[in-house]
Amino acid sequence: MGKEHEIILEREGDIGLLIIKNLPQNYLKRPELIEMRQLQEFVATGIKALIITGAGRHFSAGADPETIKSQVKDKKCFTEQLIRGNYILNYLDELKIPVIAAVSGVCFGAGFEIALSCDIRICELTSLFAFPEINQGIFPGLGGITRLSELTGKAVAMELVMHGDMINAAKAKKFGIVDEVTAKKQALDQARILAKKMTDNRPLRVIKAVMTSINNCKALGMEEALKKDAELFARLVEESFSSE
Amino acid sequence: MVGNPKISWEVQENIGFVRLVDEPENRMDTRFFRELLELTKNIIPAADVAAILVTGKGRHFSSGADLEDLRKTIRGGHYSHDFLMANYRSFRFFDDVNIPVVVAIKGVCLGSGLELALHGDFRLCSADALFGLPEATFDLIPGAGGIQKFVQFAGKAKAMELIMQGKSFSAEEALRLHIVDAIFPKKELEEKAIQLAKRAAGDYRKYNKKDYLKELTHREI
Repeated sequence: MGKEHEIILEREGDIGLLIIKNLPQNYLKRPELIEMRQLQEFVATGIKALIITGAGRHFSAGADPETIKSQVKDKKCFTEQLIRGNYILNYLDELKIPVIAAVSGVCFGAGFEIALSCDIRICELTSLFAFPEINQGIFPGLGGITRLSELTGKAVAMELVMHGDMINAAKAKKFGIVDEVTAKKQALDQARILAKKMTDNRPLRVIKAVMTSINNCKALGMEEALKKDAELFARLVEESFSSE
Repeated sequence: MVGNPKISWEVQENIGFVRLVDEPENRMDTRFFRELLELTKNIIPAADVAAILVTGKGRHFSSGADLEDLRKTIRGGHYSHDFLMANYRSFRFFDDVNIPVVVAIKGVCLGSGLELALHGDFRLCSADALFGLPEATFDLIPGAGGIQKFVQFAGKAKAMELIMQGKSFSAEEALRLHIVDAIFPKKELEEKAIQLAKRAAGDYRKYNKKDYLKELTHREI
């Protein structure tokens, strides 16, 4: 059985960094990336953006097959862990601050699913993406199929999930899976630059309002989303001008 | 009502012209939104037109909402939500109406000005046009459908970046982001927009949007 993965949480000014560490490939030992309470407490420190990245050369190669095999023996426990893992990724997906995945090297399986739960994905020329689960007779179990389909459409998602082949950065960009491709070793710095651009001089309430509205595009119909926007706007007018 | 109108409506042949006429910046204040509501609720639906062209008089399309003026209206409590929803519905009219809407943009197209433009079917602009949703820099958000439309055209990542940063961007960048469909020299803009409106009015929805634009620009989009 592989060793436990470690999650490092760091603050760089207003920006939070979540680093997946289990060198060299940053295999994930459990379907839960991090404990929910730990993540919530970190967000509650008032970070204005969150960057998720991997320690060393890779983002994460996902769960290692040996680990899954041994964990599945206790079916009930494994199912519960999967559910908790799902909660974590849904939480990241719905978070009201920008969440950016900075991807170097490999981004496979559960690692890929984590990246897909972020708002923005920045990778490097040499990055590789794949859902290899099918080779073990399983499939991405943390919402990755749904999130991938939303980005690429059904056809590409079906091909990637059912074939299990790797795709490179250029293809990932073409399919709309990544938003930006940088030179080697530049993804994290680029993510920092982008996070700063979005959050510098912005009060947290404005960042949250924009993110709420953007998330509502998907979660609600146009009409409902717009009603919420009107509410958010009116509230911001009150808050932003109340001191005058 | 006293003062000059903020919007003009004129029908030439089968094309309806909506012009923002509060020069120089064609700002959108409470009065503008009242006029737009009347126009979209009663006047345009009763008019016999096959296409609509939205444009700004003078050098600019619109610098967006007149914050000072809107603030007074919005801070009035319960009224604010209805007011904002009415504004939004006026914009949404151009998205929902069953005839093609062409927006011709020159000069600045900011804030609610851009939100209005984003609700048209086609956006043509001049090379000097300047776009942006600067609301976040005033601690506000674009509240009239701009966020939803921006995500739809430019994708979530670029929407987040440009809306939170509130930075303005050029016509070239707008084209790359799919915020506008084509760029023309300033002198040709209105003529091209009329040409497109007439063309699309005749056989709307028989072709893809792309085909109309290809014909207009004589190149692949």
